[in-house]
Amino acid sequence: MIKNVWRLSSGRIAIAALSVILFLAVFGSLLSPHDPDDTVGPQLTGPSSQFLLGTDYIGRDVLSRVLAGAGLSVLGALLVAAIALLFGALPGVLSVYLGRVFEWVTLRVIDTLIALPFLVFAVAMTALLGNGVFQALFAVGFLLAPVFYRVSRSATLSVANSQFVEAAILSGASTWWVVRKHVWNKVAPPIAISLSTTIGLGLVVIASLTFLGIGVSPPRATWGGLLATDLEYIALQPWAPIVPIVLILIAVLACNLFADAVRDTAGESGRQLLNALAAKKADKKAARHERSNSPAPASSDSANSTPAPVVGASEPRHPADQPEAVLDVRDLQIVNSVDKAELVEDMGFSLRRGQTLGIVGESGSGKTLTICAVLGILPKSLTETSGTVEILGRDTADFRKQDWLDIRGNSISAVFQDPGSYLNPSIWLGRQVSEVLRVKKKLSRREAKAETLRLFEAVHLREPHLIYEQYVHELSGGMLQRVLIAAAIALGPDILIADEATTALDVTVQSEILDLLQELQETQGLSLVLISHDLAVIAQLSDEVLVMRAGTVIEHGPARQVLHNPQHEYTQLLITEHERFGLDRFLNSDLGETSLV
Amino acid sequence: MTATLTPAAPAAGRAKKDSRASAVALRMRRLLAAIGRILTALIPVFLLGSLFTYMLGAISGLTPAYLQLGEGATPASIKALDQQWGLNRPFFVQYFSWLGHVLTGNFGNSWVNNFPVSQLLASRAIVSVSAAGVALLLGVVFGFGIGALAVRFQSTWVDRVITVFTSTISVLPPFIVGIVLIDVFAVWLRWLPSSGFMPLSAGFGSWFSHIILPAIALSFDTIADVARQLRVGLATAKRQNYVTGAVVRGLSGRRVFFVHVLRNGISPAVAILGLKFPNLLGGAVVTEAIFQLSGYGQFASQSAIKGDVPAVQAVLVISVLLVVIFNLLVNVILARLIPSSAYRGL
Repeated sequence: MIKNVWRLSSGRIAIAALSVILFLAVFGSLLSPHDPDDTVGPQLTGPSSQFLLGTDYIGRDVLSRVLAGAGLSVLGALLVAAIALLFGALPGVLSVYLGRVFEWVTLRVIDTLIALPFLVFAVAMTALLGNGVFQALFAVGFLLAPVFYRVSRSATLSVANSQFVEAAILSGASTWWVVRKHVWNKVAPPIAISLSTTIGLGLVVIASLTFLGIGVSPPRATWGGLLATDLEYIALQPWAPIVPIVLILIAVLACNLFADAVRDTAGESGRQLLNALAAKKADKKAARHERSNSPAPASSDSANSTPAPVVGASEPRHPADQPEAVLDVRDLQIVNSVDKAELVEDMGFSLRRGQTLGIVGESGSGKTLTICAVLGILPKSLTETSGTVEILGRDTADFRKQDWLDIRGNSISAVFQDPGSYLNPSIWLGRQVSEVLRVKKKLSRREAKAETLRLFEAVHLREPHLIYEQYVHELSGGMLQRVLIAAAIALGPDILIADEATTALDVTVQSEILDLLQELQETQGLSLVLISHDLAVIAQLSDEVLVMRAGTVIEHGPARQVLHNPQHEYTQLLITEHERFGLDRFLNSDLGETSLV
Repeated sequence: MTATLTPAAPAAGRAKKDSRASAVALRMRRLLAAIGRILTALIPVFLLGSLFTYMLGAISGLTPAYLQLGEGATPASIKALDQQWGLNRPFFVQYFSWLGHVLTGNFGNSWVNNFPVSQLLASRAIVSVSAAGVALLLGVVFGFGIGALAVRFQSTWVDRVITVFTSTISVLPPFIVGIVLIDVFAVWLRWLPSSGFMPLSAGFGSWFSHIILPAIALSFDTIADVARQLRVGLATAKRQNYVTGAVVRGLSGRRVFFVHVLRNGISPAVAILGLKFPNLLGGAVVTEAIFQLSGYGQFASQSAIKGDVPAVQAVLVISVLLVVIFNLLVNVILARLIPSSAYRGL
């Protein structure tokens, strides 16, 4: 750990400064040019060759007193930290093992100790218990113990609950090896961080107490005591406090710098772990990739693995019997402006009024990015480099902020996976729906509430009055998705995008939400864009299906054609996999009726 | 508090009525749960804090005889004095009788001069309340101001300068800041008085000039922590999905920030105020000594040195009570800001 800290330049500075301070503490009194407690010169003189830092009000050498004071000030801080560690860590570790009562009592005691105004109690404890150095160290150490209680408790909990320790012991590793290899690495950094900040804090507190003349009687030199006399004669010697202050600050800053360096390097090993995990994930992904590519040589009729020509998109249509397009996306390209990676290429579709477009593809295939581009909420690091998005015939390329505000909610809206996270946890659910109505439709509070209650009924939420006043954490996922849908359709938009809106809900709830979307489409004339990695969801509602993979469209056409006569091997794979895992999850789905053909 | 209600579908009319009634019941339940949660967190702190305070006096072994009788004390006279002060009763009897008196505002009499401690403290309270109050105000104003600036200019040089500034001032101990402030503003620049206190009745300017330096010395820690919590809190809240949700519903950036981001984003900064308040009270001991303010911090350390146990106990239990009351306030604010969180305690 120290080795890691030494690698950081801030860590080297901290270690160097701490070594100097520690050296002064241990050998300071040996270096004193004069006796620190004796009058050796005239009173209150400035710095001279004989008295490098001058003399104090009774003619004692200030430098000698600073050096003599280092011992108690610094070693005191170390002792305080050690006492705090003892008082805190012991009950902290035991709280995990000694049962509920002990745990509850110690937790309450720790809560209380943290809440106490620290310095007042330190002063009172020291003075009432006998006003000596030992009492001061004991009082401060005791009051600083909560930090170590918490650290050691959480470290013990994490080790006690971790299966790897158990597994290592079961697999025959020696207990000592397990402790060294696993437990120590986990426990040492947080304890080192707390120790180092506590030493810094202890130094300040000891200095504060000695400044007040508590714990140490006057003739004995301490940094706090020196500052107290400096303050008395500050009008005569305004420069006098500088040296003790600088020494205290160096010590405190070095302690905190050291703690930060430990934190950073401990974070580093955490990052290494994350990287290792990411690498594993990438391997898995690659394996899946291979698996999905493997049928390619077997199926001889599909020619190559490069994206096949888009099927269906260029099919001639008869504009006369088709309703108008409400959403038109052409040749959309999205690029990461940092590493120039092309995330979405040649994406295009057109959604007609009252119709449903299903977009299917695995995660990372660019479905959601396309939707972000359509809604104008792409992250700043991504840019739309080419292509057009037209919503109700308006090109969004030259949209200003106000245009987006006009169109979002009013013309186009969206619902997402994990609906609870898309609703503010601190505001009544009903208020979040009526907020939209009040702000955008300029309804009064009362009208907005009435309209919200109507919307809740429209999405089949029972007890609308109750739900109006409930918070996110009080409802289930399916109910939250209904609330989110109610908020999305509040202004009567033309287009509703449902991005994985039923993912992670259980199957019956999924089917209920899909039924609701279908019903709303019929009653409100919504045009839907349904996005899912799940073919069954797409199959139930879609008129047209678009299959995406690695940022490109690989197949696009009427639902029946794509689902029953897929041209691209990837689509075929999606469908065969689906058949294997139970195709007809939704009994009333269109696919269910027709797939027997 | 989690109430996922799955009612059997009743007739439509009745359902409406029921749902209104259950909304009222829900509000009541929430209110009671919030009160219960806050009280179960705060009452143990007060009880344990006061018990600790009283025990401190008991284990110190100090008695009024030690202060009042001096060298000529005989065992009989010590016993008589102990009986007079009720110190011969069992510990818990003494504790609960003391606690009962404390809760009715009677803090006992000083062992040194037999004056009621509450009288001795009353005149000093205004000094400490002035310093801690102004420090709290500075902490809130500058903490929120600096934190908001850091968020506004996130990941620019402004943000980095503020980060370095806050992490530096957070480790500067108040008594060192105090000495430097006196050196600079009183001795060198001669702008402000170095010590003493003037009541507000002597004029705002005079009061303020005496209180501002101690308040600044006390406030650094609070400023730094509030600013850091605000920065992290707002930056985290801005990234939440509900912000995207509100944007997609067509709400303006300004509205999204003030209604949806701010509310959740400031709660960590509010919570940290509750945690920092004990430090403001505790710091008074040192800052009052530096600036020679005769507030309750000075009273505490002088009484402690003299061994005047009832006076020390009074200061300690009042400071615990103040911490508990302030945290009650913070908890109530937090319960209104973020009702969903199970935040409780100190």
